[in-house]
Amino acid sequence: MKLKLTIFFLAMVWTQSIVAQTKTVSGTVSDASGQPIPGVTILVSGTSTGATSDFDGNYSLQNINASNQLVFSYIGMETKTIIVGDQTTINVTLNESLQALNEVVVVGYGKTTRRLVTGAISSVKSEDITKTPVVSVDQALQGNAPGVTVTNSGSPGTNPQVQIRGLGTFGNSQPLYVIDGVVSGGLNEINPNDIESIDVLKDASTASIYGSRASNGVVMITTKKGKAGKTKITLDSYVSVQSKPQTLDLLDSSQFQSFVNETYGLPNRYTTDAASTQLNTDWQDAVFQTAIMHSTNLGVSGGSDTAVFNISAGYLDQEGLIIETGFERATLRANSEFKLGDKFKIGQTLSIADSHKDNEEQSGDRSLVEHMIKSLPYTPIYNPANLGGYGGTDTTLDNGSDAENPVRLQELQTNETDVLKILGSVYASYEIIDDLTYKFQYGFDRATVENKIFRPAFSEGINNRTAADIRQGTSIFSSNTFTNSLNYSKTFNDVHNLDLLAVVEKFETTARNNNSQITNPLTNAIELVQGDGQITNQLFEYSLISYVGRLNYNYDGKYLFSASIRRDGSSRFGANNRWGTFPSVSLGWILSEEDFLKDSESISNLKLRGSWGITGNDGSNDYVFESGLIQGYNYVGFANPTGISNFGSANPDLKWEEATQINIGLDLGLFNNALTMSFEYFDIDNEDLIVPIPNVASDGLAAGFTQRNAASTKTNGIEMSIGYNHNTGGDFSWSANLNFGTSKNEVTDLGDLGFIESSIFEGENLSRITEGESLFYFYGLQTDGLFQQGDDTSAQPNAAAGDIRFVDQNVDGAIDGDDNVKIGDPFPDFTFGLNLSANYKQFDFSLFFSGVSGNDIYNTTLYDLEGMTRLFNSGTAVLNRWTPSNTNASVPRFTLDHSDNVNRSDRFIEDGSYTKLRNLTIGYSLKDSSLNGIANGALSKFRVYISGQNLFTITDYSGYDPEIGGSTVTPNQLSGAAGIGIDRGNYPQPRSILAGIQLAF
Amino acid sequence: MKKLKIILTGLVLVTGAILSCDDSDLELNNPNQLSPTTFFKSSAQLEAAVNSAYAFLQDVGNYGRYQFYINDNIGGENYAAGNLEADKVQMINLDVDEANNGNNQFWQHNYQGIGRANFVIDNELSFENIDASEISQRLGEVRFLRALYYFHIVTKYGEVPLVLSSETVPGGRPKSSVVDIYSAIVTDLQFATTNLPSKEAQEQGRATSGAAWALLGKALLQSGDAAGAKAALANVTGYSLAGDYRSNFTVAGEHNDESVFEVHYDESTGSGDSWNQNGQGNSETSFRAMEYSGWYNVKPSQELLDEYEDGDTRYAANFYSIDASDNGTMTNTFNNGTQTFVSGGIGPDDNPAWRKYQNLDNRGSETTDSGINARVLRYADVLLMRAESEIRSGGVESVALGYLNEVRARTSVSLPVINVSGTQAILEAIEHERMVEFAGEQSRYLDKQRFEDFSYLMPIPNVELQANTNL
Repeated sequence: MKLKLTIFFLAMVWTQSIVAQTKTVSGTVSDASGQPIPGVTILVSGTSTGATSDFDGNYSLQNINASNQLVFSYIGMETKTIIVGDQTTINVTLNESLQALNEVVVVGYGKTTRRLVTGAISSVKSEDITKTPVVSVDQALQGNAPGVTVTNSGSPGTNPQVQIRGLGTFGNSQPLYVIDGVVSGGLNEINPNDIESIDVLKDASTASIYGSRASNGVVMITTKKGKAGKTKITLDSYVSVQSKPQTLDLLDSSQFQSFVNETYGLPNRYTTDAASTQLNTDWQDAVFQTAIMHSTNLGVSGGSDTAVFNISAGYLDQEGLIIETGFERATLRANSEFKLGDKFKIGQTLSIADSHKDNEEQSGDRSLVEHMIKSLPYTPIYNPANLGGYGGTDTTLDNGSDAENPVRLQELQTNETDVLKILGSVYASYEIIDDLTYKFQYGFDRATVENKIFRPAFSEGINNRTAADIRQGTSIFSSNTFTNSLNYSKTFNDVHNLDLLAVVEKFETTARNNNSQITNPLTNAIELVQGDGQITNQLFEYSLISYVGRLNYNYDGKYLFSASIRRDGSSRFGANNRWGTFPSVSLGWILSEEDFLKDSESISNLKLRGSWGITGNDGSNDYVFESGLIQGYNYVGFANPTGISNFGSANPDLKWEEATQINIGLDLGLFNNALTMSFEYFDIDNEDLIVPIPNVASDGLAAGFTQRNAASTKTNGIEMSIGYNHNTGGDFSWSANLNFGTSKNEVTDLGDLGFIESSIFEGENLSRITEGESLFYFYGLQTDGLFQQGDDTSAQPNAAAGDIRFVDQNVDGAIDGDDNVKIGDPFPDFTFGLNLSANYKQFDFSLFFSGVSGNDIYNTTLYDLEGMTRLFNSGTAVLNRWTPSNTNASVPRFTLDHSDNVNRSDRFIEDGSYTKLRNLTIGYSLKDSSLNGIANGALSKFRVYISGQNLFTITDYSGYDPEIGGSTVTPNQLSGAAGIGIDRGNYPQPRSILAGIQLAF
Repeated sequence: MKKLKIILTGLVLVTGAILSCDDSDLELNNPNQLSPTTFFKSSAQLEAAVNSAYAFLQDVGNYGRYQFYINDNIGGENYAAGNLEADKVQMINLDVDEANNGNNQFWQHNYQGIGRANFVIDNELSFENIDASEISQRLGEVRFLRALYYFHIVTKYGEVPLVLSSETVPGGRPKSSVVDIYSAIVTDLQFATTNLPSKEAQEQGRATSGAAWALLGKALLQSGDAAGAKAALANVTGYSLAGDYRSNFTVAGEHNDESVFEVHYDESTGSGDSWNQNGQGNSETSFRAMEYSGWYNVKPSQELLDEYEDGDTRYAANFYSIDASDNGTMTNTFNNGTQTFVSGGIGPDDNPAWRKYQNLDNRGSETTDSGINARVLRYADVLLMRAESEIRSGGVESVALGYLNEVRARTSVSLPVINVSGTQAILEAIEHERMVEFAGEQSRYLDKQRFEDFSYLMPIPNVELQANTNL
């Protein structure tokens, strides 16, 4: 230390004595919006002379000569170098850096800069989130973060499915969400406008600090904190109009009449009810609507150098494309932080969200869209003569056609969810001695979820309900996280940068479910459970204790080393296997800091990095290691119908899933980082996966599965991003960013199991898991066109000319179960996103494409449209079905005799590749000079924009939307991930036009 | 010094936090479930455990849905009228595969019924505070049920794993011979016949000694022991034929004098979720009415219709039709006689449709939640089995014909007496009578096994194959 001071002193003396003509230079540093930036480092290039800007952004440097260069740098901002020349006042505006290496990256229990990252982290900043308004935070990740696959659902208020680096597990595949250091879920209750940044930790070295639950990756969400300076008020508001992405070609009433006349024979309806021949109901028109969405956010932030705050309120009201669906959300957030002296800091975050969601109904294993397709065009939507007032079919008159009136499902029935969520934290940190900081954080998450279902008695002919069905469910969720951490961060001898972290953490959750249900045959007037309803209470508790240690070391900012270890104990395992240990190591080498590249004109950044580590997963279910008795095997008809018996099988040996991950990365910045590239290769071995292993059916357990560590998978892939940022300071600037990711998974071990089946549709399991194949591939018969007259149909005894010919895979002369093969893969070969943005004077433009390629979709709506299984409405494709006079058809002949044509086969598999124009935005901002004239210059930002979302989709897929979100219909599914790639008439995403305004004061 | 103090304070804080993270915080047990170790300590608990063994009779794999599809379709009593789902078409075509949904559900739910029975039987030693007589009666019930479930299975699959305890075996159990399975069924039923009360002393719907004797006779007859069957069936007493044949298939006629064992359904418990009846919950209804003559997915086969003698009123009791020339009798009205079936209004074709177990007599359209109890055993069956076991065991022809003609003499049927001689002729008459009497009652498939050398069995389904490596 003393030595350093001496050298510094000598240097000062030397500078003063040698350089004759010196002067004092001063000025103000501000950001693009004119706000002063305190804390900017101003360094005289080639010397250790420097200063730091004060609270008002002012700085002053003495003994500066004309040939000096001043380097202005600030975390998260582009660094600027200015030659002093004859200036004495140098005011500098720093722009926020787009790809700057000093970008702050949030990692587990801390922050670092992009430069020092040795693992694989993708980051999305607040500008990217709010530029294209999204309802839910995870939507913002789509196409913005390579390796992150986001599959949206069009259903308002429904969480998208997020997979980081593809699917590697059978069960819960959702990443871990950490919001301001607190593990939480329910991103629908987080206002995207409150987000400062999202950092996705993809590899083991970054994620394993959350080792226990990090196998699916970690999404770190940081909310906005206040900044010291003038109090700033922001107002963002937009309104959008949404419409359905496309229209299916369904038969209209007259087409349907001639179709059924040629096929089923006219239903009795036409002969007994003359009016029906005149009716022509467009059920698509009745079910879909043009929907309005609007959102307004108001924020106030500011503070002094001892206290900062950020308070915001938001309101969102989204109508759904399907009638009587929607999502409404009000949010309030307050974050603040206080410094007490130099060493003590306390702060808090708090968010309250109140939301209401109107869900779409499903019934009888059919989605609303399936009912809509199948509804007969000659049935009226409304029929006042029926109980409830809705039209429907009659058993006898309509040949048993039993699609439920989709308008009745939505209008008459209530299915809604209310969520009140309170999420926040309080923390305090104290610098015990120089460089050693202790921090305590208490995080809390409280949520009350109420589901209300009311299905009144109705009669619409064949479909009726004799008693109102009422279900009320309340789920009260609570989690507490206590984190104690010690951090030691110090630089030795200028070149040895050391950062040590030790954490002890306890995480506990409680979920209490209260469900009640009743059928009320007396009245439709009561929507609540009254009288002798069925009441169920459930309680789930979970507890996790963790010890974490991490060492980060770098030598002179060139050679980076990081190692961490985490030990976790989880209540989800029995005493034998409660604890798991998860280590990681990573290395980085910044070649561009080496002498041989330092002065390179073209290469401004070159870094190689690699990591290895193990992450863990304790599954997603409590108590699965044990098994008790359950009530509910009731036998209606006995005086005391209650039935109690055993249910499943205990597995006291259940243990942690482990994922061994390797990541190799390369970052390259060229031409002063105008062109940046990043490349990752990853390889993940998932072992001891907790898999619901089917019980031996003859053991007679009512539980279909026992959770066992019984399978292994392997996932590998590459991720790439290339960015170009053209900003020469003129009127026109532009940037482009392309990212690309692949992920291939394979089941490497399935223990004794030959296969696992999942996802029943029409009596057949569509997806299957076997060793050596990707997860949940589609399994069935392969088709080979249609039989023509005179063809040999001996392998298919039921078939005749016009029926589908299946491929006899084992050439045994008979089509049977042995001829089933892999007929499709739901996983894309690659996913990509392309962002183009440009600024010209006051205008800003952005274009954002994203897409997937090479995946298959099992399209059950095609089954509905072309299957001709019963007297249902169909797509117009059936008009061109095979007939003896129309032999060159793709749709097989109509037949009542059998249904081999609709057997599980590749007939219903389509290419799911798509490219979507996710967003097109044009904005206009007022110039600073114009702003000064408004309201005495109080207005610091004024931007208006219009935007189109999902304007077009390039795809060969014939359904509504190739982006298959979650389905409401999921019988016999292993897990949420099992339905991947199966379109059960899922809620499509809207095409929308949006107009918005952003103001700041 | 002050610094040191602060460091120590900090360390104490951290250490305190560590210490508070006690390992015992991780010991969390499921508060939602009862523990097997504290159960069976009252008669109500035993009753609840026994009830659970009945529950699987009601569900989709059994009488809620697949019991009738599997038996009636494989037995040749149905043809696919509408576009029947693929798994049920396979049953008609006798090419049921391992993936077949009905095959899987049937297997699962019968074995789950067995599992619930095993759970009671296994725990006999832990029963406390329960009367000995109640214990023997309850054990009689679950052993009757276990035998019934095994009878369902052995007649559809032949050799299957014989599971008689709730202990699981890694990789599953191997197949047992048909003889061993019947032997287990007989042992259970012999226990049941001696421990169950008679119909008068038992709650309606529960297994009785009469039901145990009848099922024992049925199982022995099916296994080829006609003499044993004859002896067992002679013990079925206290029952008589209902005057009105059709009352055996309506809600009003439930538990009539002819009924020996029924599976309960109750329309008021329905919630339109008939696809998913899984033995749990209070919603127990049958899907049959909707599937048969609601959607007309299946209709009675021509072979079955042709079997009826002209004027046999059971034709009109079992089928709706619009052409009186078929049989000379017909039922073509529904909804309390206010509506009439006409051409185009009786399904996708104009052939006769099922009336047995339908609700259309009293209403305008069918329901997915039918409340008509399934008659598993009725006295007419006992009589015809007595006739068959008499003949097959080399008994007296006139005795056999007596039982047969008793069934034909039912008030509402009143068909002429059959008087043929010779074993073959009498067996043919019995087969005919069974076919028309029990049409659509899950009898024909088993009858064909005894009368026609019909040997079709379903393959063991994927739910078993995927996890049992020891088959």
